Amino acid sequence: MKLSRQQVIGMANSGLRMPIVADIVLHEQPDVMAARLDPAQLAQVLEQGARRFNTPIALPLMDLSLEKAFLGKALGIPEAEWATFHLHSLPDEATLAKAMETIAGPLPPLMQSAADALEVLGKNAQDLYVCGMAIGPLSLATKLVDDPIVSIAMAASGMSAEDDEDVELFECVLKLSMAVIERNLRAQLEKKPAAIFIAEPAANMVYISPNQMAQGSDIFERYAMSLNRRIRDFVEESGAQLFFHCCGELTDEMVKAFGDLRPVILSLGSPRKLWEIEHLVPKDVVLFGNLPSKKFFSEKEITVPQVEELARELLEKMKATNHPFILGSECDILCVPGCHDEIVKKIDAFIHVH
Amino acid sequence: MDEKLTALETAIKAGKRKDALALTQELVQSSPPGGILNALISGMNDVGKRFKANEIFVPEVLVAARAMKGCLEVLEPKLAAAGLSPEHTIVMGTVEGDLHDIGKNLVVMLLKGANFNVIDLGVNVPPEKFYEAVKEHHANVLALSALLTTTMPAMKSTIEKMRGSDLKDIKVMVGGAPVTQAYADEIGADGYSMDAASAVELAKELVG
Repeated sequence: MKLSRQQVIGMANSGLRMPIVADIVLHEQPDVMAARLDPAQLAQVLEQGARRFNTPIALPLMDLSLEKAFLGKALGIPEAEWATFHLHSLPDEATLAKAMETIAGPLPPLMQSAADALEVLGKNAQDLYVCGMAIGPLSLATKLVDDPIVSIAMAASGMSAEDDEDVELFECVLKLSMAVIERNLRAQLEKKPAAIFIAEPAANMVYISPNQMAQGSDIFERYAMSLNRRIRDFVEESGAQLFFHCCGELTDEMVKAFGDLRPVILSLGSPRKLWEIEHLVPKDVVLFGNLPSKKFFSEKEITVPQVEELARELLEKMKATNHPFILGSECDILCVPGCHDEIVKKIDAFIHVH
Repeated sequence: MDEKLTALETAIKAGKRKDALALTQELVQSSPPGGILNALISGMNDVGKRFKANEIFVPEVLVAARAMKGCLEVLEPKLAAAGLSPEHTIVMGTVEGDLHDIGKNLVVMLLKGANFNVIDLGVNVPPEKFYEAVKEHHANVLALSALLTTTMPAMKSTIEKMRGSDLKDIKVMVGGAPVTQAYADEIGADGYSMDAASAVELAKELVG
């Protein structure tokens, strides 16, 4: 089912609350991995998440490790190291060519299942808007080398790939990242989702120095925004809408760049108060978030009344700005072992707050 | 000579690796290694202070730390020969199940900049590996990092492993985005640091 910008603005104006709960529902399944590998079961998980909390958009499972694992396979790295490997030197031409060939081939089972689940969900739950997802290219690239921050800082200081081997390696992994993300997204877009959620948590001031940006570096544009614009373009060309997420610490300039990307939904983490930055974002980009859901697992970290109070504050202050807003979690809400019920209690609290 | 030491300190503050390395290579020919080390530490201390004051950010800290790392590699044999090796050892890693390393790397760099001997075990470190490293290196402090709420329980199991062993008195410090003082108290850590710069102060307190 297609989704328009106006429909999302309408959802915001109707007071929608939308927690990202796929991981919570997934961990209620008897065999988590079996559920993930079976598109029918995974589609059920996503549908249950939407139905239980009464959201018209079925948000996906946010696994930011899938693309790295696929790249590990493509680069010939042993499976046991896919989650942790870093490249220490530039792969040779033959390895790169083989990697690109593998990326163009069949998807790994978890990635294929996630894509197939979108199709199953689209057929089984025709009243829900189906949403796919991928990690953002900068965020994936930072997972592929030992010291991404220094490489980015060197590039921001004016070093080119010819000047510095770390910059050269980082620009190589950025290209590989883009290739694998595009492959994953195109597989999902074939299933005709209503939207794609891009999680780009590394596009923040930990990885990119605000001082270097203030001194005129174009690094944020070059390494983050230009690639995400390419993603937006082919997502929109496929008839889907873009949801864009970054939960890191952000400067105003970064927030503005995200707004200029013109996603339908911009999801930000709790480091920024949404009512303080809404003026940086076009009025037809719905702001989403940003309750501190990473603390939901414990009563000592945050209580139900505190969640309700924060939710009320967000609702009131965002209403005053007149910016379309959907109350939600700051990221996907992860199921902390032994804390499922405590977390759900707090999701229920903000869903029902007035 | 003082001018060269000042220039070295300035190069560290600015993260100018090549300049800092060239100065260190020149200085080790004629200067006492303790003086060179002090210049490096002073440079990194300044970086830590400016980071804490939000004047500079993580990238600038890591660029400065990279400059210092190169200098230390040149200086270390001289320091060892002069009996000036770091007095205290810290074993550090990101706990089991967690693959995030930025915060951990930042703390490692700043601790090295403060002249701690840091054994960096990397990410996804199981309790057993922490135990073995603390024992092998006769560490004074064990530092645990976690970024995810889902991996924080591994901090608890690591501390339980240490407390139930012959190394039960090891000082344990914890940190990471979801970690709080309340959680640190709950799991029996000796200290909690809310940011990388404060971690250095905490480590000094724990070994003091």
